Amino acid sequence: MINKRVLIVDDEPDVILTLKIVLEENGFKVDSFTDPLLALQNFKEQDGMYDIIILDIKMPKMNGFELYRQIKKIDDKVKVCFLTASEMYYDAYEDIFNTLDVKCFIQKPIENKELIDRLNKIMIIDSTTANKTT
Amino acid sequence: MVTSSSSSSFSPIKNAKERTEVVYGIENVINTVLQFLSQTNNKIDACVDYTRPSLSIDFLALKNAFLNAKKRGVKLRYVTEITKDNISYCKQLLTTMVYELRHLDGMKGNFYISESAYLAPATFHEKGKPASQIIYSNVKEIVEHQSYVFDSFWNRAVPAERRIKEIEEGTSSLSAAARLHYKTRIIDNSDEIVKEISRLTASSNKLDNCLNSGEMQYSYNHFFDIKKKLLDKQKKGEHKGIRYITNINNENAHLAKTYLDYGIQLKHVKNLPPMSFGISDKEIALTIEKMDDGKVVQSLLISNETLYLKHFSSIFEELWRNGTDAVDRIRELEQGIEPARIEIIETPRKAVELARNMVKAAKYEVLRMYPSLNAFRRQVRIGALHLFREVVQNGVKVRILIPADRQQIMQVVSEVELALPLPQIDIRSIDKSLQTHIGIIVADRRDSLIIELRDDTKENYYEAAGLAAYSNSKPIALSYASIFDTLWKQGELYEQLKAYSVAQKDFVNIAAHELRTPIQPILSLSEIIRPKVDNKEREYIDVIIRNAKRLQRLAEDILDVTKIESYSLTLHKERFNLNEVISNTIQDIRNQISNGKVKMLYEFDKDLLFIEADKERITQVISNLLSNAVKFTKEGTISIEVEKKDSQVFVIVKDTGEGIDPEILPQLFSKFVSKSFEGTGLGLFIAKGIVEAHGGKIWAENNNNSGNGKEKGATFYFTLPNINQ
Repeated sequence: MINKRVLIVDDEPDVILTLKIVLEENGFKVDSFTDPLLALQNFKEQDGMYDIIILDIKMPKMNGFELYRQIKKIDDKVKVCFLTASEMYYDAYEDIFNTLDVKCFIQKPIENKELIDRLNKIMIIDSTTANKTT
Repeated sequence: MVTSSSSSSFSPIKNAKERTEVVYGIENVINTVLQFLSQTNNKIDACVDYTRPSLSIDFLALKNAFLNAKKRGVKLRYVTEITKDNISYCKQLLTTMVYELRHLDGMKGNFYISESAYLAPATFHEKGKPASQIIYSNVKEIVEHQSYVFDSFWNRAVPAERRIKEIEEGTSSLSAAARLHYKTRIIDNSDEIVKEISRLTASSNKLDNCLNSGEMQYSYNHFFDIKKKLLDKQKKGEHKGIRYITNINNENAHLAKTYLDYGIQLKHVKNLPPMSFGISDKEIALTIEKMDDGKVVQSLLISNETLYLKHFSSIFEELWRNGTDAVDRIRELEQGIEPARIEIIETPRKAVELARNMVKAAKYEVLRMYPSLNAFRRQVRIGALHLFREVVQNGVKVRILIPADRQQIMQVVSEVELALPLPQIDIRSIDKSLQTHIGIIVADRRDSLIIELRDDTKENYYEAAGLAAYSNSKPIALSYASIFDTLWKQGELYEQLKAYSVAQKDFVNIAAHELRTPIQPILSLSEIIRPKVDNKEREYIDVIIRNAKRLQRLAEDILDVTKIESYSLTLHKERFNLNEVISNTIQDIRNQISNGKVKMLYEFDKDLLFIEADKERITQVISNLLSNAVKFTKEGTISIEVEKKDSQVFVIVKDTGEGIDPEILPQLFSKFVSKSFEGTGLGLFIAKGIVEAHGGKIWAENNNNSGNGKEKGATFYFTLPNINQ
C-alpha cells in the first residue's frame, strides 16, 4: 500500500499524538505541527506532497481557516479536513463553508473508524462546490 | 347780488345766473317753492319744523309738486320733529313722498336744499300757514354750506319708523334724550364715558367686573364712591353685591386688599380675557383697550341687549369659577410662593422656548428622555447638545435616555461636530422597544415638561411635535423623575444583559472546545488498544470507552442546555422530508434494540412531507423520544405516527412500556428529573428547547388516561407549526 501523506496542525499535543497513532495504524504517513506558522512554512517546502491536511480551527497565532486560505495560495487543489472541537460558526468564513463539501468538517470527538472512512472519502471526492452534496 | 322786488308783482326765477334774493308775498313764496321743486332733478333735502308735514300733505299744490318730483326720480330726504300731533302726516309722507324720513327732537330750522339751490322760509310759521317771505339762493357756496348744515342735522336724527313706534307704543319715563339711545352704542367721549359708567354702576342691582390692573386703578379713581354706596345698599339687603376679577400681582395687591376690606368679592385669574367689562343686571360696558394705571378709557361699548348680557355673564361666571380666591393669592404673593400649576402649551415654538429656559435655569440636574432616535436627531439639529454643554459647565448634571443603539446615538452626536466625549452629559441607550410618543424634561426635580410626539417622520421639530404640558408642581416632577430613574436603571441592566449574553456565547464556545477536546484521545486510544488486549482487559477497555462516550454525551447535552437557557440556540433551517428523517432514525434505533420482544411500527407515508426546520436538531428530538421509548419498553410495540392538521405537523410516539411515573409527569421536561441507565437526564429538556425554538409544543401522557385501564405505556407528542408543502 502506498502510504498516504497527511499533515496535521493542532495546538494540542495530545490530539496530535492520538491522531498520529490512529492514522499510522491505518497506513498514513504523518507530519504534524502545533504551530500554524511553522506548518505553513513546511507546506511551502513540501509543496504538493500531501494527500490531505487535517486542521484544527481554534489555534493561537492563526486559526484553521486562515491557515487554509494561506495554504490554498500555494496549492489550490489541496484536500482539507477540519477536525475541531469548536462550534462551527459560519459568519466570517462563509466563503470557505460555501466552497467545501460538508464532509470536510468533522466535530470532535469521532470514532477512529469513522475518521478513517471520512478521510478516505475526502481524498476521493473533488472537494469543490461542483460535487457538493447536502 | 340781492335784488328786491315789489310786493305785488310776481318775480319768477328768470335765469340760471347765480343770485340770492328774498321773495315777498305768500303767493310769490309759494310760486318760488313750486318752481324750486319743479326745477330739481336729483335730490331735495328738507329740514323743517313740526308744523310743515301737515302743509306738505294738505296743501295740494305743494303735495303734487313733491309727488311730481318723486316721479322724476328726485330723492327727498326729510327731517323734522315727529310728534303725536303730526304723526299721521309723517306716516303719509313716509309712504307716499319721501325717500327717507327722520326725526330730530326740537327741530326748529326750516330750509330746503336741492343739488343747486337753497330755499329758506324767512319767518317763524304758524301751523298750517305758508311763509310770507322766503330766501332763495343758487350761489354754489351757500348751497354747499347749507348742505353741510343739513347733513349734520340728518346724522343726528333717528329713523322715523323708530320714533313713530315709540310714540305709538307709549314712551317710557326716560327723558327724550334717553329715548334717543341705541340699544348698543360706542362712546368715544371720555367725559361721556365716565358719565355712562357711573350711571350703569349707580343703577345696578348687582355688579360684576372683569378688569386688568390699570383699569382697576381707573375704576378706583372714578367710581369708588358710587361703589361704596352700593356696598351700603348691600348691607341693607338692597343690592346683590360687587364681584371683581383681575390679575392680582405685587403692584396692585394693596388695592386688592382695599377692595376686600370694603366688602367687594375678589378673585385672581392668571390669564385675563382681552376685553375688560363691567356688567350689571341690565347693561354691559366693555372696552378692548389696555390701560396703564389711571389713564383714561378712550372708547367704550355700552349695550343693554340681552344677547350681550348673557354672553358676558357666562364668560364672567366661568372665570369666577376657575379663579383663585384673592386672599389666598395675596398670601402667596406675600410669602413669595409661586403656585403650582399645569399649563398646556399649544405651539411647539413656545414649548421649545420653555424647554430651553427650563434647562438654562436648572441648578443641579436635568433629566431628558427622547421618545425616539429621530426626536433626538431633530433636537440636536436645533442645538440641544450645545445647550446641554453650556449648562453642564455650570455644574449641572445632565442625564439623557434615548431608545436606540449606542452606535446610532453616537452617529447623531458626531453630526454636530461637538467635542467628544461629553463627560458630564451622561447618555444612556435603552432598548428600541421602549420608543414612546412623549418626550420628558425634568429640571431640578421641580419643573417638568412633557412634549407629545405627533409625527416622527418629520424632519423638522416644529412639525413633529404636538402639544406640550408644563408643570412646576413638585409631586408631578418627582413622578416623572422616578419614571426616568427606573428606565435609567433598566438601561444599565439592558447593557449588562447584552454584555452577559455575549459573555455567555463566548463561554459556550470555550466550554464546548474544552469539554470535547480531552474526550477524543480517551476514545481514540482506547479503541486502538482494545484489539490488542485479552478478553479481561478488553472488558476494562470497554468500561473506559463506555464512560468516555457517556461523558461525551453529557458534554454535548450540557452545551445544548446552556445554549437553550441563554437563548443562543441557533437553528439552521432547511427544507427536508420529515418522513425520511423518521425512517432513518428508526433504522438507527432498530439496531440498538437488544431483544426481539419489541416491535417498531411505522407506516412509511408515501406522501412526501416537507418541512422547514433544523434537520439535525429534529433528528435529535425524534431520536431522543424513540430511544426513551426503547429504554422503557421491555415488550410490546413502539409506534410512530405523523399527522397533518391545519398548518401543523403532529409527531406521535406511542409505546407499551412502563409508562411515566405520575409524580414526575409534571416535571418530565425539566433537567435531571428522569434518568434512564446511560441517559443524561437532559434529553427531554433539550427536546423541549428544540421544539419550542421552532415554535412548536411538546407534551406527554400515560396511555391509561384514555379510559381503558388496561392500556400500558405512554405517548409523546410534539408539533411543528407552519409547514409548507
